[in-house]
Amino acid sequence: MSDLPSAKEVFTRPLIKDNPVMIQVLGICSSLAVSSNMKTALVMSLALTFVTAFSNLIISSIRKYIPNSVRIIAQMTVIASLVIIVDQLLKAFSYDLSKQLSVFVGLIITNCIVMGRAEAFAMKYPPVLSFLDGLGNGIGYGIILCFLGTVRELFGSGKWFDITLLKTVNDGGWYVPNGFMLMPPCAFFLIGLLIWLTNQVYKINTKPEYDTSRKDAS
Amino acid sequence: MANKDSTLRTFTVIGLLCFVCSVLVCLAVVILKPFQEKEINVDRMKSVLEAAGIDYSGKDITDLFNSKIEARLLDLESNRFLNDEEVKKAVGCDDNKSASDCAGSYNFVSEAKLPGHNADIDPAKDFAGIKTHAKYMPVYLVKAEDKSVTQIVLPFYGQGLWSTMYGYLAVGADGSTIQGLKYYNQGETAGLGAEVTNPNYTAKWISKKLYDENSSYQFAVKKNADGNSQYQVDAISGATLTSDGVNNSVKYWFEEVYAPLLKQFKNKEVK
Repeated sequence: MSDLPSAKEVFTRPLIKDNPVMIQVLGICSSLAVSSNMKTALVMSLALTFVTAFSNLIISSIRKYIPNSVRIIAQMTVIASLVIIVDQLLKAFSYDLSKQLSVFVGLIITNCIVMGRAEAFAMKYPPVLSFLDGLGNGIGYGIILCFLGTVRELFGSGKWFDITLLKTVNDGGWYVPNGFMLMPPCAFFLIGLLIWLTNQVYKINTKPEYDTSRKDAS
Repeated sequence: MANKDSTLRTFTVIGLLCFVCSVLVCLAVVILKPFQEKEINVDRMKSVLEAAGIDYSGKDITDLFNSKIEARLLDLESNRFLNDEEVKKAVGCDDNKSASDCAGSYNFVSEAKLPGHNADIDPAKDFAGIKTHAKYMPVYLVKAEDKSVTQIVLPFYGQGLWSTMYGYLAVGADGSTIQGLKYYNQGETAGLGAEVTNPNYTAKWISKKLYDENSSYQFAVKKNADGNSQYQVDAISGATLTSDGVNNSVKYWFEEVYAPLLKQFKNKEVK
């Protein structure tokens, strides 16, 4: 076990450099759906961070006992239980928000980030590292979600966290909100731009594996 | 560890894991249930108060609600209110709950889906697209200090563009004038259809009328509504289908279901 990555690296890598949304393009569905305003985006990020971190911790602690043939099912059981608990907590203490998030909390179960980290990391590394990895990936997802939430809520409804920043025409102000910002496809374009940006900054994937324009290849 | 993948081992590990997880999930559900019911109840009271135009900020919601509003169950077939005992029987509350609390907790959404507890809607009249309705509906009487009924807050629902939209409509003492609209549960497009919850939009509904002098239904939500007409409200721009849904749900509930009750109310027969 001498090749363990450092805790710092495990935690910080997924924040930007190996971001689950921008680099691995996981968890897109929910990022499109819940990022039209900041409040739901933030709660969703917190919920997902909680689930990834603790599912990683639990799965990693029992990884030596999980039979190989049914490991995905075992992971799903842990993840699903955690998600139900989060959902119930939200319903009990933040009913308004749980109404807004509707099915998307339940759908954390199928979020590829959670499954991906459980399978790719927690099954191989010790609990504390796995916990940090889950935390980092959750926060990495959260960063993107909050960025999308900020842009979409500000330009789509002139608000941020329901605080009016740009007074819209409907409310007697001057700002004509961009309705497209509130539609899911908008988040798709924004994520595309983000992916391009990170690729430029980190100079990744600049060369395709196959260059179709080369005629002299064969 | 060599035997990690044997059949017996697999069954034992998965069985144990499932058992532990199910215990945790059950615990969470059971422990949190009272909190959730309280939240749902408070949320309902808030919506009714909001529809009735009563400001609840900074006040105890339950106290305020109980002092101003009385919930009753309306039998949709005979158009009469159930008495206290019938209410308790219909909802299945215990004796320490007041009849009003009990009537308010009647779940007309799940009842509408239970065979024997519901009634089919004639497809030709099912404008709201809901197919069945519950036998009873909770109805909220807003009372003045002298106990006279000043408003009735009526629940209604119907299909929007993406979702079933649930709302309350407050109707004034003439049995026709709208005094407030509150959609408390809907899944329409944020910023477009979901604008039905915007107080600036719902303000447009206030003091419009549902029925004309002969008690025939006239109200409509439509594009380019005639600003001078007391029966028309503008649709939401960019949300034609949601607005149609709103129009149809109000049409169904207030033309087909609540018209007799509101007529009684107009004739001061509702107490």
